[in-house]
Amino acid sequence: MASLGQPRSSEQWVAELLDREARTKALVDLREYLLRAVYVYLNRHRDDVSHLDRRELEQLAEDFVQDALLQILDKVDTFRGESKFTTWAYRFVINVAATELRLHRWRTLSLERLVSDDIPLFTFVGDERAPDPETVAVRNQILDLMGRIIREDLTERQRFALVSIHFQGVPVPVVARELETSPNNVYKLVHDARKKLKQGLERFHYSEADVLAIFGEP
Amino acid sequence: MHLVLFRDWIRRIYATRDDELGCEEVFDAIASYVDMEIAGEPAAECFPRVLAHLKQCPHCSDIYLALRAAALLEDQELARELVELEHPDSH
Repeated sequence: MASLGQPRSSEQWVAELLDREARTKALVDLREYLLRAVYVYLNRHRDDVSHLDRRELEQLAEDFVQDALLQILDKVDTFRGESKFTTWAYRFVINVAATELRLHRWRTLSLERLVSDDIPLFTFVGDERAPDPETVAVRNQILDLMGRIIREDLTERQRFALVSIHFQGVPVPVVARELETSPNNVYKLVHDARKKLKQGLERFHYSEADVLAIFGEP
Repeated sequence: MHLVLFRDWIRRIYATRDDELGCEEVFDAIASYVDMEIAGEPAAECFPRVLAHLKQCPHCSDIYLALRAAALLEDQELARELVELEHPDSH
């Protein structure tokens, strides 16, 4: 891979990307930076692409970089100099890669089945010592309360988002696609669901320390 | 669900705040956050709401970790190239 070459200041990056004559060279160089960033992401954070051969990986990385370059060109005039330009730019290619890979991985799975009421939410493993009957009783009270809040107090979209992400490990972009909304709005749905759970527990005087102790916090 | 993960989930429930940032706000701030961290400055203290969001949002947390790795690598490679420029005879 080509060297990063003579480094530009953030101001130089912005000036050249906004200048019609200088833009082409700047984009060629920026492409190299973005390729490095996306390779770091793919190699260190995504074992789901480890089966790809070198040519496939290069094509995938190139596709992500091209998408990111378009987004960066569209937004370059919003760069405020609060970070290095390259760090600011890397976000775009990493976000494109993270989102596209997750959407692809989950494309065939039925989310409705994952969040169906038939699937119990609170089935635990990892309890090394069988709890005493009193602890079991209190645990069940807390779990019943949380189950009731999830089933009855959350809206359908809040419940879907919370259960998908928190219980089934569905990535946020996948839930956003299913709900035909943005990842930002999915976060807000989950946030509101968490608030209702927290308020419900506190209404019944269960503190964080209480709940953690009952569920085996050492 | 493993009990350890359930207890983490309980902590996340109780850590919920009214003034949490959304993903778009964190995306806007994350480059500054990462650059501060790499420079050894107290990013978590200066951006507590960014940190709180990263603890709640797996997608943004994933982006943060990858961004940090990429920015750190750039820092290290530029430092290495600078050393080579300053001391060409050693290579």
